Amino acid sequence: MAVALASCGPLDARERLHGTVLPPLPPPALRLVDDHRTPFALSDLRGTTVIVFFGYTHCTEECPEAMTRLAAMRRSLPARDRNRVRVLFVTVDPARDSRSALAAYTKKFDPTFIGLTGSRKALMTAYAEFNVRESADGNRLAHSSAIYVIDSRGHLRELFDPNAPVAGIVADVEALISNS
Amino acid sequence: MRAAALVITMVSIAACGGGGHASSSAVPVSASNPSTLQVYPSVVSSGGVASLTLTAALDSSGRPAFYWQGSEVAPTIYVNPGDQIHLHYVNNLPYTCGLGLVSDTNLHFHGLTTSPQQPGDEVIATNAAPGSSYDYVVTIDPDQPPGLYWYHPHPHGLSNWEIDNGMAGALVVQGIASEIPSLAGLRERVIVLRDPPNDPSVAAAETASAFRRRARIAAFRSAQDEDGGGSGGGAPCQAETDATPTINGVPTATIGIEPGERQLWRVLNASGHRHFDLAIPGQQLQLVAQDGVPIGDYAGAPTSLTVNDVVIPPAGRAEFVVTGPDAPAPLISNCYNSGPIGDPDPQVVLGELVNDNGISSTAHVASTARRVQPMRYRVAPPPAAQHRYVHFQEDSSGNFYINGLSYSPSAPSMYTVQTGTTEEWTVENDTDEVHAFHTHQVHFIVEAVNGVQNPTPHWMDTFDLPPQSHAPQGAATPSTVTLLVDFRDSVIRGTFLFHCHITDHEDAGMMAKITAQ
Repeated sequence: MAVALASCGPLDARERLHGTVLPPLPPPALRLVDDHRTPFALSDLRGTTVIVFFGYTHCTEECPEAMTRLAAMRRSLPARDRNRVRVLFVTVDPARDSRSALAAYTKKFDPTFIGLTGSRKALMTAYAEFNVRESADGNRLAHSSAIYVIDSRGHLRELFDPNAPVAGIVADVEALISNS
Repeated sequence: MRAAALVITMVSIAACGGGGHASSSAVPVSASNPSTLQVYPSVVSSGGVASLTLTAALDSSGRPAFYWQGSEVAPTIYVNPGDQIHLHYVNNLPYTCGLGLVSDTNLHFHGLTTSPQQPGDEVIATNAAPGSSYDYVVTIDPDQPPGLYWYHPHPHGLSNWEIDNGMAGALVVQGIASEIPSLAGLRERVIVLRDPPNDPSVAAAETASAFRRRARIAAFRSAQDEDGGGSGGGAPCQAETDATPTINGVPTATIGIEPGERQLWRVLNASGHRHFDLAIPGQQLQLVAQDGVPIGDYAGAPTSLTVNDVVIPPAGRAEFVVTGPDAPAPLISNCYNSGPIGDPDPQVVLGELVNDNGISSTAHVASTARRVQPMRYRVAPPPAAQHRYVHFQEDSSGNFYINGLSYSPSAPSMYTVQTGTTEEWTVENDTDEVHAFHTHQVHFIVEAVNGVQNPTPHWMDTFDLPPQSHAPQGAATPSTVTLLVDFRDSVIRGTFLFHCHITDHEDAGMMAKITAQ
């Protein structure tokens, strides 16, 4: 069966985005459960620009750094665009990250941020879709710490490091919103 | 640091069908402002010991790097057969680097026939965790052939990140002029080729690379669906990223050589993914050694091979004599076709040979050397004591296997071999991309590729397995490479590895253990 790849519009030129631009690929599904126990799929947010970060609530390094930057990113957007972007935080530590813990953690950064968890199988599928690696070292977890940017049609467009300048993320999110 | 780009006056790249070499032709280029080829600092053994401290740390760009004596550089280590390397290795990397693993590291002394046990060339259990160090003592076999070897990290899961970003250095076993007297006194150049990622998101580059691979697979499958099977897909001559290969740290360099002068170039491909197919248009190269071993060290082989170009897979080395051209000439790497889902290796200009009137600073091939007789590699190998079939495999999810098994550090050895013997291995590539087969501790002879006898057998430690082929109806025929693997030296007793040296394949499981008894 042929794989249909969507054309990605005028933002294809990699120099116009500030992160690491990804090739066109089918949209990931990201089927999990949100912090309100509601089943979630990435397609639920079609029409919205989506940022995804994989981490855990006990994380003291990349996670708070990335989430702080993403909160700053959303605050920096023009008011009309703030509700056209959603930030998802997917746990890599489901044993300790209860739904309530995820809700408390994500809302600490921004009330619109969404925490996601799921069964081990669903999470492993999500990790595979996003090429996420994680490994435990006692209570400390090492995990892929890329910030994923997804356009309004559900396509992964680019990656940022967790310490990427906020201005670049803001510019790219605005560009994707205006292009949607 | 990037030098000014070369001005390409005209480049014509032919279609890149098939596997291996992709035909290409190039008209010479002129350099607008390339740098002079850097000469790496050296650590030379003294009193039988080469001693150094090497530190792994992030550089100012957030990329893992080697530091030596306070500078971001990997020195070239010069030793003689029988010497020792005493290397104090310090891991100053952060605890994690966003890759899903603790930032462990260790070292492999690639190509040396040396003990795979601690504190030597052991990479399975040896680890310098972040904030710790390890003291290596590596003995150079008295019978080690003179040539170019190298050192690089080998932590499972992080080899690609560490090597691809530049954690690697050259290691020269001296004495090649004792075997090839015509090389004595020539100027020699140690050339390290790399292909560092250039992604703006440094840590995320690993993740991005996996997505690029996924896209290549999707494109290949789509093309197969459209043409009913065929070869389809793949754009081996088209760059996927802005990454630029480097030659001794810069994208292009001038290489000083007088017209008619003969120089020995010792070239290491220290990249994680990229193949180089080196050529100097209009000139033939005299290949004198590959993967550290003189060509003539194989019984019955000539002292050198005259070639138009030299393909160097990731981790491979080639040592060849270059003759100074009458006018400036480019050093190019032709486009290399690594298969329909393999990493693209487009043509690139690495440098320009210019007349330096003999003044540019570089070492000369030493004429003094000692090597203990008899030289084992020169003794005709005995018939194989064992025949094995080895399958290199992968799936579309980015997992890689040998004989259906993905590497685990805790897995038992796949093979147990007897020292003092040779074995014949038929290595089958069941995938749609090249794999760079590599064995630790030992070398091998390539006897045949896809059933065709190798006309110029010589010792190697890294060799490309061509991708499988497809019939028009889509049926795939795996490629096969037949090797004679040399387990004769008893110093290799212990457990070591063989794997694909395309490092993201290695990290994703295309690796297994051998125990030598």
